[in-house]
Amino acid sequence: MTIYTPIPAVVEKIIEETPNIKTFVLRPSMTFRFATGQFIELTYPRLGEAPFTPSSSPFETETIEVTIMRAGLITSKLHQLRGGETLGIRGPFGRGYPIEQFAGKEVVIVGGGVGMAPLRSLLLTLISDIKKYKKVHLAYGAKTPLDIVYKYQFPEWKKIPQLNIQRSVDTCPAGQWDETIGLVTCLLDQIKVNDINNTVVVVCGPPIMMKFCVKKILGLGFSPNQLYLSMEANMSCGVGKCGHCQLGPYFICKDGPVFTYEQIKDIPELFV
Amino acid sequence: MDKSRTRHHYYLPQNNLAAFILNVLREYSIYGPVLQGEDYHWEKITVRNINNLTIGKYRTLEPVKQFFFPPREKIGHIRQIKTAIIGLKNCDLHLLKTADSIFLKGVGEDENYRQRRANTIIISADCSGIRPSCFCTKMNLWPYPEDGFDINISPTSAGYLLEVASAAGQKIIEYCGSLLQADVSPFLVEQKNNRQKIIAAVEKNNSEFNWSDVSGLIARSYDSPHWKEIAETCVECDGCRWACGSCYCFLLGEGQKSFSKVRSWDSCQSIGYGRVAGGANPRKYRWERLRNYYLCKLLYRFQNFGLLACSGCGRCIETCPGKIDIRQTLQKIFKEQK
Repeated sequence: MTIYTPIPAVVEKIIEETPNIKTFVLRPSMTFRFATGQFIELTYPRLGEAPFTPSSSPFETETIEVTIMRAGLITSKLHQLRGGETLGIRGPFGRGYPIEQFAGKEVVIVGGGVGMAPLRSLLLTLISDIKKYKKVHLAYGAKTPLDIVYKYQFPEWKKIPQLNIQRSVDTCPAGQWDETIGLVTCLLDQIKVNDINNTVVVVCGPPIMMKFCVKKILGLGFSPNQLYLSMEANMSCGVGKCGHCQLGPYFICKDGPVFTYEQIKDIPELFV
Repeated sequence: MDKSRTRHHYYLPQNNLAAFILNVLREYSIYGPVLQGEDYHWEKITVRNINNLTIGKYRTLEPVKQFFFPPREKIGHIRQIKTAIIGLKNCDLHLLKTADSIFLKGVGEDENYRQRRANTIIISADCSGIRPSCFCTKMNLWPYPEDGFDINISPTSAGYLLEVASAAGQKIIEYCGSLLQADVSPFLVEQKNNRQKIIAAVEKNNSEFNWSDVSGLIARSYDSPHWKEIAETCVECDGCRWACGSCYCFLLGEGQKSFSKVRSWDSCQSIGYGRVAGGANPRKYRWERLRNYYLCKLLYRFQNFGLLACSGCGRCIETCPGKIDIRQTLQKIFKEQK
């Protein structure tokens, strides 16, 4: 057993989220613990590995869920699975969300598209002890109503009084969406926080969305160390050795994937 | 404090070299530099080619990392053979520090690397010659080792001065009792003079370059127009990365058996290196990748480990079919910032 050796995990269930996103419920061969925001390497045997941040609650240790968009070689093969197959998982890797620092604060979660995956894990963690936080806001944007992930969970989340949910879609045929139409950044204007100095903002989404969200959030008066970003790249070894996920002087796999904007704001290749 | 003062020194007359090597062979497989054409290459040393082994002169063509981090290997399957590497130079030793920092420190130890490193002893040597591409003194290193070896060998006119820095090294010395002389004082002066001569030669070799503070230089170079211009002759052969003794990047792949892993050297100069599923790429252009390699070696690794991941061995210069010379690059950037 080396730091690169996966453990088997059986695909127990596959949930179709959107036309190109599925959630895989995996049952690892042994109890698997992670902190919310940490990531795993998922192995498709004899083909390759890819990094994903679990979208399930870290309190659930018997099964683990990963939400995967079809984008490349491994994800396309994963999307062809029917359930019952054995994959491999390694990890957990990196530094997740520092939720102990969120206690007593308002938390604004901003998600775009499949970037909602790690944020669902965070949201479930916060919901499990929601009285610890002043308030939790979720701003979630997707391309169209069809592209919204976890549709089946929003009704119950909307019932939680300390949780404010705002959703937007970029485009939609008339009459099919009674929430906000526009980019996710416009939701940030609709979220009123009590005390900006006692608030943290957590963002995950495609690079272009992160770029404009950062601009918007700083413009609203937040400081770079109140802003947490999930920097996903092509993490491979997971332990800061293989070099692939280099981001300036950092390796995202061991120093991230969660960074404060303060840590990384001067790195020129940030959002590509 | 000068560590070499507290270490034991011995003198090995020229005629006893082969017998000394045979004593090392009692316990270790040996690899050492053998001349082929103009260059020294690593060869397995046996009784048959023992007389071709060259101690001193200049560094081998290939980096020494291959003994600890082979171009391709299975993860977790290591044959533990006790190995001695003889005749590696100070530039090689310095480059190993980067690999040590990556593979042995941080999050988890790399088992393959650790075992190979633990089963290998280092018998280094002073340089007694230089290549036109050598520039160690520009990287604040000397052409002779001071640390990181079990035994260091300084060639002298009639033999070799040995400096022992570890218990494994001392054990070899004990096998060799009668081959060695304990009175080394006459040879210490010669060693010092030889070292000064080589320092002067490396300095003369690089007298046209007046850059210094490479980390600062590179930190300020991000927007330099020189990167595009320098990268124009790069053909993306990755040769500079294979030849570099401090490059540690690897591609982790699947083995033939389920859940087994293999790895091979990888190069940040390839377009696919940083690319993610869907096609986004943090370093799409060749010049961005070239710039990143200078940033990695001279700035980021310095920030991470307090050492430069370049020792001035010049292998990348000799390898490059596009004639990209790191010294010239730094000179251009230096001039621009002046």
